[in-house]
Amino acid sequence: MNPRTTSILASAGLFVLTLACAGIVFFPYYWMIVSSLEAASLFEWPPRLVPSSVTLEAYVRIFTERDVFTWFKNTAFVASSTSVFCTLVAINGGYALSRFRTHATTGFSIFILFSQLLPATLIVVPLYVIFRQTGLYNSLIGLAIADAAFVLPLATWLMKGFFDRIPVEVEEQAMVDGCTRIGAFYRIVLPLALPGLVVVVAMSFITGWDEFFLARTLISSQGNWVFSVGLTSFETQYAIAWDEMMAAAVVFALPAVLFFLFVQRYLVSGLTSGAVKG
Amino acid sequence: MAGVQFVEISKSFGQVQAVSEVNVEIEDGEFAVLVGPSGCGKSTLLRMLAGLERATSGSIKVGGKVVDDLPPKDRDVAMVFQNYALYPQKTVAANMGFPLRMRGAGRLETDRRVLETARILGLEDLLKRYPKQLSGGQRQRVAMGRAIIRNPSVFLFDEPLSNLDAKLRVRMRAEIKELQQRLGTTTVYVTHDQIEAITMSDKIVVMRNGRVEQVGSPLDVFDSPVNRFVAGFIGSPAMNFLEGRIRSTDDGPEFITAGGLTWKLPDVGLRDLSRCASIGMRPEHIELAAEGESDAFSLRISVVEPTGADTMIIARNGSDELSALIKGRHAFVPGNSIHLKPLLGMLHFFARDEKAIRT
Repeated sequence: MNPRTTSILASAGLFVLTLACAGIVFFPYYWMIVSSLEAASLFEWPPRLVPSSVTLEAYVRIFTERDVFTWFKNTAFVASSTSVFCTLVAINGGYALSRFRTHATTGFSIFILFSQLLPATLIVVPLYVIFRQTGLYNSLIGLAIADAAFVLPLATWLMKGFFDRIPVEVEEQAMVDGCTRIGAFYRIVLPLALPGLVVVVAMSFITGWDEFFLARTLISSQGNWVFSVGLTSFETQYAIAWDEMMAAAVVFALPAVLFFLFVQRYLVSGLTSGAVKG
Repeated sequence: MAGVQFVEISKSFGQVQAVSEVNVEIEDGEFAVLVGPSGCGKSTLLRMLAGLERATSGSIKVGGKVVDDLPPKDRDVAMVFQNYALYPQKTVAANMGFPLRMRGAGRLETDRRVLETARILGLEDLLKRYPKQLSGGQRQRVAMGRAIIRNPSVFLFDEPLSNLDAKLRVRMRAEIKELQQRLGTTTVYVTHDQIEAITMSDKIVVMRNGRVEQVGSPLDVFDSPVNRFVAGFIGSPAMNFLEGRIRSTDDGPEFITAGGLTWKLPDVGLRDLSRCASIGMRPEHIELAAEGESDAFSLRISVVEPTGADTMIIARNGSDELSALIKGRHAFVPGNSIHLKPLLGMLHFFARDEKAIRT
């Protein structure tokens, strides 16, 4: 085979592989949308990939008969609060771990990584007890704090990595040029760590948005349900309203998808910029 | 404008003593160079002056005022770092204007002075660019622009030329010196390059292991080094040292080198020569001698390095080694013997404790 043919074949192979991967990733979404538009076909065999009839009835039903708006509002509140908590703590903590190197901080950096190794199931019962005692049980703020606690170790490490890559001289220069240490941090260092900041904001927002386990355990009243908990209410003792559940799932996923579309430019540069020295 | 005084300054990092009891006075308008091998504490001293490190003990004065408790921004000093430390997210104009904006200058005033400074440094066409779009020399100039724009009392330079290629370094060296002369601002410049130190400075501070070895004008330090370290560190090519001991004879003292050469010491008017443990001579102060001349050494040529204008040779005799810079071009052959003699007035004598022996 001449090199030209080889390279064409290689490109073609890569294209097919990419297509296959994309198919695997996107099919569940496709199926979710199809099922929300036509419930009857869900369990047919062989499966019908293209729906024969399309109806928006399920969507109308969830918005009129269910508390979707409340779930939406609660979820948005929890996700934003998680994101704000997490980002504030992670940028300050990451900066401290990056710039103030002592035995204590090095030990602490490793310690917080260990906390990441503990599964949520292990922590949820003590968390439940603590939340009951402190009045955070069944509160959205409490849920946001719990969600943030699970993202924080990774977020702090991520920010530390980004700060590590910013030369300390730039900051010292800013201090000589007329900034206080905090001023130099907010004016010069933080803007340089923007890709990392976006990653942390996105990561914590999504965690707060789609977290189920903690939300199920720490929230009791229906009025405080978040979307992920709300979704389970379509499953009743005798029936599962698949079309409604899928319609709600589409509504639930939409903001997250839009959010990612918006920040993906930063995300990609943020996640890969650690790999190659800029 | 202001002078700078280091009074009994010491700094330790944990167990490591980086700077020990430094006393140096830099006059108003002077160009002072802190020079020494890496790890000698010169950068630490500069960073303490900038306020980026806190002295363990002692005091620093700028313009007669103690600045020990002032943060960097209130010390009225401007600094140029080795890696230039330009703000990557800001344009050249914004980089240069930043210190002014931080001091509350308005946009119009800032723009005017940025343009004015850019003109001095030839940066007018680059004002809209970002640091990553500039060459090394241009970045260097922007960093200097950012330093001079606010007219500080003292400029601090931390090895600003070491990231540039050799040719650009020589040019920037002259530019910095010219700029300093024009502005007349007190300057403290750190380098490990003794050529930079000699060519640029009004005052050289030679440091080793956190201590100041010698302070003086460049030529003073070059001509009268106080010890072997300074003698060997300042000057390029470096000074030769012949180790040995003095023996008294009826004809006067003789110097017997470690390599076994016996050299009848000329009368150079030093009283205390018996303490002499080594003799230093600069390569450019050694000339060709005829065979049998009384104060000449006989050695074997090991390496010949023609530099174009002159000829550098390295000659040995046992463990004795001399490098000599001989004027003009010569057809020396490695392996042949050669007779060399030092210029008598240019010899340096050092005692066993490495201190220079003076008249």
